[in-house]
Amino acid sequence: MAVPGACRSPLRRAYDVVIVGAGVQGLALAYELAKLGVRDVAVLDRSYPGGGGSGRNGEMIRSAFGSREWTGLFEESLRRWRTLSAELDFNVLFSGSGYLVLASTPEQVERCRADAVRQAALGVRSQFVTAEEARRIVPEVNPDLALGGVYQDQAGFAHHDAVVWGYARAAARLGVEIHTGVTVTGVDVAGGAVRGVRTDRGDVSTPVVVNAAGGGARAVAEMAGVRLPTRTCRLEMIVTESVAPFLRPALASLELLGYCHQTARGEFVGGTELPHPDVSDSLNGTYTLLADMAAKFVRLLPRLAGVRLLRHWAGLVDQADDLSPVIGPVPEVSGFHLTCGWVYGFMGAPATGALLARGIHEGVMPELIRPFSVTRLHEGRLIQEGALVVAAEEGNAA
Amino acid sequence: MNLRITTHPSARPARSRRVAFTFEGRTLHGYEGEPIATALHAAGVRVLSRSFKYHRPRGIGLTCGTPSCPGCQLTVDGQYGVPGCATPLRGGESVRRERAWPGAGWDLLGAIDRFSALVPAGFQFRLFRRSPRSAHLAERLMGVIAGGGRTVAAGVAARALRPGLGERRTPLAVVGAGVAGLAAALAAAESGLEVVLVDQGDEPGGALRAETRHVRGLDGVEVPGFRLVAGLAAQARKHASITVLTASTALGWYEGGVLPVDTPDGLLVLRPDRLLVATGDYDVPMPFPGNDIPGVMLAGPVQRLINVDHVRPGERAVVVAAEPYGYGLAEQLHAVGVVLAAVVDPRPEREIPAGAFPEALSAARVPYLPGHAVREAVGHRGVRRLVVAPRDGGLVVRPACDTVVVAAGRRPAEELLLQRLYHGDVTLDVTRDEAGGPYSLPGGVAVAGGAAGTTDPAAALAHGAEAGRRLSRWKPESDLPLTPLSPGAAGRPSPSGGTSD
Amino acid sequence: MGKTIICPCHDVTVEDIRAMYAAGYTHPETLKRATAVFMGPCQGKHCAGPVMELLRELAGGDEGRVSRRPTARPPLRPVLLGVLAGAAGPSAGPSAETGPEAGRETGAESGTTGGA
Repeated sequence: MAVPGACRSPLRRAYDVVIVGAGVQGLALAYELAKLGVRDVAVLDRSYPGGGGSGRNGEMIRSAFGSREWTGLFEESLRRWRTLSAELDFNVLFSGSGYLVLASTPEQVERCRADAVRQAALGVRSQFVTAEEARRIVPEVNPDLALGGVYQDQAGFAHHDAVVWGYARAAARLGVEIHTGVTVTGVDVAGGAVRGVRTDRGDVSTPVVVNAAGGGARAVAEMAGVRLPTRTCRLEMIVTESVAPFLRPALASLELLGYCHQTARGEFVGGTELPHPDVSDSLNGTYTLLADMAAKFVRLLPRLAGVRLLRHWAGLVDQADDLSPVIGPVPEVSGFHLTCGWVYGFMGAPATGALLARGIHEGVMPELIRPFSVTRLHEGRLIQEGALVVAAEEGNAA
Repeated sequence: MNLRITTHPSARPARSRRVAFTFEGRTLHGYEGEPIATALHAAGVRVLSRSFKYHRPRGIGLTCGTPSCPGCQLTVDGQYGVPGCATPLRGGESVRRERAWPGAGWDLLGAIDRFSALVPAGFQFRLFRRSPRSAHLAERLMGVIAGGGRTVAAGVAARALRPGLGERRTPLAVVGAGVAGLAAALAAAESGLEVVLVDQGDEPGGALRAETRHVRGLDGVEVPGFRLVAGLAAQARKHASITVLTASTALGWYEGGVLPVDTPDGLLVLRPDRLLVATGDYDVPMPFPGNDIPGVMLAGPVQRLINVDHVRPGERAVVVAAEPYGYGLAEQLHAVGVVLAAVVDPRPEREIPAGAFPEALSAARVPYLPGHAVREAVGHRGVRRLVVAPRDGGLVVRPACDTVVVAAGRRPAEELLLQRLYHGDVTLDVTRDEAGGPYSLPGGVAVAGGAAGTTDPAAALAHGAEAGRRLSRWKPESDLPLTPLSPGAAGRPSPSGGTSD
Repeated sequence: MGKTIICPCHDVTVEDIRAMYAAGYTHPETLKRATAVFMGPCQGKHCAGPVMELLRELAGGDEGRVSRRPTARPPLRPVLLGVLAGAAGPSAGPSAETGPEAGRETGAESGTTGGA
C-alpha cells in the first residue's frame, strides 16, 4: 500500500486517464482531474509514491523569476501553495518564511534589479534588496557574498513528503486509484492515438496517458514512440543534524549554484550544482559533490563549519536545454501528455496539476502552460530564464 | 556510592592519570582517556541528556556502540553534539548537557512528555492545516524546541575548518580494527599488500578490548581477549606495510571508489583498490515500556564500562540475558561487585540450554528467572525496578535495581557494506553460498567478523585472516570494475550479488 | 505503562509505528518519513533491528512482503561540515586561514600517511 490512500484492489482493465508516476506532479494532476469530475483516473508508480525526485528535492518555493513564462506559472503555483493545506485537509507544512535569491557580483545585482522590475510589472510580489537588507534577512550570511538580491516575503518552502501524502489522500478521496509497485512496460499507440498501457500487473486500456515519470520520463516517452529532447541529470543534497534556528527564509545563491533552507526540525538542507551537469542515472552520491556542497555552504553561511552532516543523497531530474519544464500534449501521439523535464517540479506542481487537468479535460491547454509545450524544443523556441540556480552547459540561459 | 572498580579481577590494565574538568560550573574528576560520559557516570551524573521530542532523561549505555548516540551528546568546550561515549577525557574541558531548559537535571520542557498523547508521530500533518498563521507560529516554536539551543559558538566554526590530508590510493582499506580487521590487515600485509587500517576507537581492538575471557589465537594459545587484540594491534603498528588510523571514521563508500576518512588531523580521501568491511556489530535493543529510562543499558556498553573503563554501571542490576553472552556478562558483573538482583531469561524455558546459568551465580544465590518476559522498567530519572512475569502466567516479580542490562542479541554493522553494494538505485543482494560460507560479493570486497555475523572471537580471527589473504590474491584487473559507472549503466540486482550492465 | 521507545533519536514509540502502519504508511521508506525513524543522528543504527522486526510482524510475518530497510547513506557517522570544507581546498571557508587544532588526540600512526 505504502501510503494512505493507495489502492488496495487490483489494477482494473480500463481507465479514463492513466498517469505514469506518483510523484508530486502526477498526484497533483490526478487530484485536479478528479476535482473536475473526471471519473476513472489511475496513477501508477513502480515504487512507493514520492520515491523519486518528489522525495529528494530541496522543497523550496518561489515565483520570483526572470521570464514571463516562469513567473506566470509559478506565481499561480505560489498562490495555491498558500492555501494548499486547507485545500487538501493535510498540513503540508508550507512555511511562508520568505525566499531570498542572493546576488554576489555586480552583474548579478543588476540582473536581480531588472528581475524585480519585471516581476512587479507582472504582478508578482517581490522586492529588490540591497546588501544591507540581504544581510538583515539572513544574519548568518557571509557578507562578502551578500551584495543584494531579490526577496519574496511570502514564498518559502514546504515538507516534500507531506505534499505527496496530502495530494495522494485528497485524490484517493475523490476516487483516484493510486497503484504502487506497478511498472509500466509499454504504451500502446495505434493510428496515432494512445490505446492503453502495458504493465507488469496486466494491460490497461485508456485514451489518455500522462507521462509524469520524472527521471524515468524519457524511457516512458520512448514506449510511446516519442523522443523527449531531455537529459537525465543527477543532483545531490545534504541534510545536517538539528540545530537551533539560524536561517529563516529559503536561500538560493546565484554565484554558488546552491540552494538551502532550515526545516522546522532544525535541520539544514541544501544542494549545489557544478557548472557542468552530472549526466547520470545513478542515485549514488559522489565525493566531488560532497566536497563542493560542504565548501560552498560553509562559505555561504560560515557557522555551518561547526554543524555536522547527517546524510547525503542523490536524485534525478530530466532537463531540457532551456531548463524549463515540458508540459502538455505531444503532436505525434494523440492522448499522450507530458509533465516532465522538471527542474523545479516541486514548486510548480500545484499550478501545473490544475492547469494541465483543465487542459486535458477541455481539450485546450490554458495560456500559462502553453509556452512549455514540447514543440518549442523541436522548433528551437527556447525559453530564456536566467534566475535559476541550476547548472547548465555554456550558452544556455542560466 | 562509588562506582569505580579499584581491583579488577582480570588484571586488565586501568587508566591511571586523574584529571579535572568542569561540568556545568562544578569541578569533577575522571581518568585521562576514558569517555567523558563514563567520567560523568562515575561521578554520579545519571542523566546525560534530554531527548529530542519529549525531553525524556537519558543516561549512559542506552545506545552506545553506534556511536552516534543521541543519548550522551554533550556540549564540550562550546561544541554541541559531542558523543560523550566516544570522546576521551583529556582534562580541563568545560562540559554541559544539552536540550534542556533551564537544565537537564530539572528540565521544564520535560512536561512535553506528559502531553505526548497530543503529539504522536505525524501530529504535525494534522495540526493547524486550516490556519496558516497558527501553523506558522507552531513551526517557529517547534524549531526552537527541536533545535535544543544548539548553536555554533564563536571560534568553534573556525576550529572545525581544518585542511585535509589529501588523497591517497591504497591497495587495501580495512575498516574496523577489531579482531577480524586486525587479522585481515596482518594477513594481507604478510602477503605483500599495503594496507590502511581505520578504526573509530581511540585504540584499536574493537569489542575484544572489553573481553576478559580467553580466546584462542592463531598460534593456538589462549589469552584474554583484550590481550589478544593488544598484541595484534602492536604487530600492526610495527608493520611497515600497515598504516593504522585510530579515532578515525570511514565516512562511506562513494561512486568511483572513494572512501573519505575523518581523522583527528583532517579528512583523508582514500581510494582503495580493495575493501574489507570489519565494522563489527551492534547490540539489538529490546522493546519494552520504560526501555529508555537512565540505567537501562545494552550489554556491549556495560562490558566496556566494567572491563575497559573499570566503572560499574550501577550498584544493583537485573541482567536480561536472551543469549549466552548475557550470562557471561552477569558473571563478570558479579565478579566486579555489582549486586545482581536477578538474571532474567525471556526465552521459553524449553529453549534455554541446560547449564546456562553459571555455577558461580547459583552458588552466590543470585535469583534466576528463566522463562520470564520483561513487562516494563519503572522509574523516571533512573530505573528503580524491572517488572517481569512468567511467559505462561504466574507471579509477577519486581526486582528492585538501579541498572538493567539487556543482552538480546547483536546484528551486523552493515551500513558500509550496503553502501558498497549500492548501484544505480538499488542495493545488490548479498547471498551466502550453499555451504553458508562467505558472502558472494563483488571482487575486491570482503566482510569479516561481527559485520559478517560472526560473534565467536576465534572464528572472527580466522575469517579475518582468511579474508585478508583472499583479498591479497585478487587483482583489480581480473574483474570488470564495478565503479565508476557510466551514465545509464546503473546496475541492476542479480542473485549472485554481482551487477549486470 | 511507560513508553516503549523504538527510536531514541526522535522519541518514536512502538505505538507510533503501529498507528502509522495502520494509517497506511506500510513501506519502510514512507514509514520512516512519517515517523522520523532512521532519520536522526544514528541514521538507524539503533532502531533498524527492532523497526524492521516490527514491520515484518505487522506485514503478517511474511518476509517477502517487506521491502528492504531504508537505504544506508553516507556519512557513516555525523561529520563537521568544516572538516569536509577544509579538505575541499583553499577556496573553502570564509577565509583561507584555519584556526588552532580542536585538540583531539592524534591517532595517525606509522610514517606513511598520505601527502597533504
